[in-house]
Amino acid sequence: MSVQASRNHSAPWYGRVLYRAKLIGQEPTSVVGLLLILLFGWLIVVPVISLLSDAVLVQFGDERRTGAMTGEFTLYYLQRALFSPISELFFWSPLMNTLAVAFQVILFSLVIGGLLGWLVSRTNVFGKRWLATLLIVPYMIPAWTFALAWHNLFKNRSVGGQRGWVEAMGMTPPDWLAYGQIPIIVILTLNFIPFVILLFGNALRNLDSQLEESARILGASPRYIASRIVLPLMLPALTSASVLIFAKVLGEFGVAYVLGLPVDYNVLSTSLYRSIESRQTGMAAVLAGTIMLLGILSLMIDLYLIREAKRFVTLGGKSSLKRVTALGSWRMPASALAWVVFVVSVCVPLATLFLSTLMHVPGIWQWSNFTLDYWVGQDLRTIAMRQGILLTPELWQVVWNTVWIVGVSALIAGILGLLVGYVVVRSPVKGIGPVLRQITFFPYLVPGIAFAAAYLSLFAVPRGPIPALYGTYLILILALIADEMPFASRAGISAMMQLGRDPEEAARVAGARWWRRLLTIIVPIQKGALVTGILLPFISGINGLSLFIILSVPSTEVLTTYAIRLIDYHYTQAANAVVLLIVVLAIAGTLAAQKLTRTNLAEGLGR
Amino acid sequence: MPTITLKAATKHYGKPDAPAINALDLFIEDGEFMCLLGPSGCGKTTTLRLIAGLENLSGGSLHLDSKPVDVPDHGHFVSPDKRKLGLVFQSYALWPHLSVRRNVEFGLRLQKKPKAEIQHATEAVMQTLGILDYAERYPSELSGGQQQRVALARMLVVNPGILLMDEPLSNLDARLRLQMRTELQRIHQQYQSTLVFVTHDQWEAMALATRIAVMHEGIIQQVGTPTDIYERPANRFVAEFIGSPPINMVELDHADADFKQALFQLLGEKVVQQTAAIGIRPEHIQVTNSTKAGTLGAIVLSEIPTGGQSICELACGNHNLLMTTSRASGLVPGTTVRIAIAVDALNCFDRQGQRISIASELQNSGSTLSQSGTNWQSASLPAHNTPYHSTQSTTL
Repeated sequence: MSVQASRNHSAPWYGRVLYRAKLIGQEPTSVVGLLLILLFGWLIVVPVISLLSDAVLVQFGDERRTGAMTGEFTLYYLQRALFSPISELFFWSPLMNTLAVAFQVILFSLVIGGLLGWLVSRTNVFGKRWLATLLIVPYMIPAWTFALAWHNLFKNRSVGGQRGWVEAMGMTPPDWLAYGQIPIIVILTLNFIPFVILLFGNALRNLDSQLEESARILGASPRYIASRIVLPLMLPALTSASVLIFAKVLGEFGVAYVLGLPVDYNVLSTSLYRSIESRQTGMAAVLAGTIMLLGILSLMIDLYLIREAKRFVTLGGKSSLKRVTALGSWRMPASALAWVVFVVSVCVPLATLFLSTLMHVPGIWQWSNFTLDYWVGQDLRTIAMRQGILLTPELWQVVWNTVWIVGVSALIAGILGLLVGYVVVRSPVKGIGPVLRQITFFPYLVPGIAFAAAYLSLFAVPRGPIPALYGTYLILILALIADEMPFASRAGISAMMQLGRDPEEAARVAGARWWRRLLTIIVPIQKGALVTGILLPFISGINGLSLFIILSVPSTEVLTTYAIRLIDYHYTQAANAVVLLIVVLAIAGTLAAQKLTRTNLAEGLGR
Repeated sequence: MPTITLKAATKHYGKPDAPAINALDLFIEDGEFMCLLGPSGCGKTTTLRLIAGLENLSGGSLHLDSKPVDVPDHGHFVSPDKRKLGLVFQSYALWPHLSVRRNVEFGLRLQKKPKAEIQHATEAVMQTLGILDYAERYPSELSGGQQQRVALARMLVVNPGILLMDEPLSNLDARLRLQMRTELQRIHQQYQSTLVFVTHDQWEAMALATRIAVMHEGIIQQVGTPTDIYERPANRFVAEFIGSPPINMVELDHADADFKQALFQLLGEKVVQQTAAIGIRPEHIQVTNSTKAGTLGAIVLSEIPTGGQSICELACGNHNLLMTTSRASGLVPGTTVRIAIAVDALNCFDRQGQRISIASELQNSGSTLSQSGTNWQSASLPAHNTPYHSTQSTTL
């Protein structure tokens, strides 16, 4: 044998160091991982810390109130938010309102959504297949769209502008019906029903009906089976849905803004918006921190519940039998209920918005009242908006803004997401993967409005080498990327999980270096996942309101903020037209995503 | 063609006290067909990946020829593509987005070879493996056997000196597997490469390899020719892992007095005192008409015909023995028979489970035993070919 044995005593001191360096040179996954951690530390962690620290540091201009210098530690904001004469108005009542809305929305959407989920997945309700798809439609449309429709229908003279439909037809809706808690609950419930249908329906679909049948053979009544077998097994899906709804309601801004503002009904997110608008940075930080804390708490509860549930829930059941329950004499009323929900939650709002763009005065069904002026009219006899919305150059500017701002950030988020997925799945260094996974998921816990506040707090002033970014496109793009990372990185991670190491290692043996492997092997194989990772953030970006409403300035306006501004100016028809454009974009985007990924949101329901 | 030398090779994943490979020494000769055999989790695939360079050593050294390619203490690490080797994955790892042709020519393209040469080499190797007709198809449009050939072609086209294969036949059905075995042997001969092959299938290893390394828990248990491994297992693990139906392992602590007595006479006191267990291959037990001393009485428990041969379970004293016979033996469950055991085929293991050489003891005790290797050869042929009561074996 011509080989000399390598023994430690002859090893040079630098041997191991050189070895490490060579390995890293060939496998830079860990280095890329560290760079990604730095990037997301800057994009996600630093803004959040900066925001939270604003709550306990004296802000510029508050020196005299707090009796301390700018930047010093203070409990002034906490004290003022929680225990001062204004704290009721500023903090406690919005908090109570938020909780009241959240719990009622959870209750109603669970009851209605659960019932509908069962109807479309396990019974012979009429038009089951259609319902399974149609009932999901509200999921694709931003919630504040429905708020706008409600506003159009029920608004009364408490606010200016055009009359509402109901009022135009001769009835004046009372304030409690037009604004505040009740309409907010109704709108959010309608918006979250599809969510429950999806989660609950899928869980039901995975429930093997042999479980029910074996109980029946032992002599259990249907009611007993439902309460002792089905419900306990569905509990994880239901609690999971509740917690996620709670987290989403916390961050929901648009609905409360449209329907709460006229009667000074505030939730945490609108209160936060107001304090940001009035430059009360410290106070805003307290509110944002509260929202984040509640969000994190609810997600932790969800994780705990899921872990507990794993102990007894057996998911998967490939061969599980799905038995269809015949509804008998209840078939008619049950079907009617399902279709009514569809009509109320989709047809009525969209029709309202659409018709109102065609009518001079809402609710008057005369031929002369109909017009296309608001879409394509010219030289209208109005003070502003003297032409139809489609002829307004501003609209197209805003559409272009939206498409490129959201497009660029979705593209970057999608690529980063795949890269994150790669590092999380492949990193040989322990810790890098989990840390990256947690960081990129973190924005999910932070409602958009709090996140936007965090960005504002960090980038409103120059910090170190980074100039003040407020008012630039860049701050929007950065915030959007960060906000969309949870979806993008989830898509990337799950795609990479399914791809074994083998194809890549085969390329490595053949001589392809790291970047080459990424470009010629990973990206082409993960094309579908990459498209999803770009398209989903794109859709949510187009729908998104809360980030933009805080970070946009007139020159960086996007469709959603444009619509809100038109609403604020009471250009009802124009606003509705813009909203319809957004809805069309959102639905088309979702359908395109489903087509591309060959998945179906409603899959499993109604089959 | 290169030799492969692993010295004190150790690989652990963050936990030095739980190594996947532990101080492994292995020398693979130029042009050898070496098989790494062992149950799942024994470290055989890790060893292969270490040789390929897809994993790196935690300690020890790996040389290809005399060139250090992975020596952590000296800072040597040569990347996989510079090691001039080819690897076939268990899953084949064909790139799903590339056609068969693109898959095969990938390596040559990376080497920036001239177009004409790439085309020529690619088509030649595809021709050899009979996949030229599928050149423009995608991997998902091929059957398992065809995918296997593409994986082989992709490996062979760059003309590597070392061929590494990770359970390449395990995803094929039985008939295709036989066919591919022949093909692999042909490739080995044609390319004159050093071939390292990982499998958990002992028949595959026996049929293909020139030498086998049996691995268990990250340690090589025995390296030897297939005959060595089967006939002279180095320890109890190898004895029990190799062979189907499995070897009969009789623990002497639990053996009854008759059995022990016979052993004393035959092997001598010294051997028996060292011996903790005795392994008897099922084909080395035979029903005999003789009732002379040394044969044992046994009760027939069951008989399972398996086509060419049949497997009988016998109760002999307080242990059960498996016996294979050439064809249906006609033994009736519940009846008593007398059995003879081929003594020179006995495997004795000490308390540590290591093999004890018994050849000299047998001669001392007067048993007829010819030169161990050759004698063994005939006894290991299917049992019906070997007359047990010949001079080659002694009844017990």
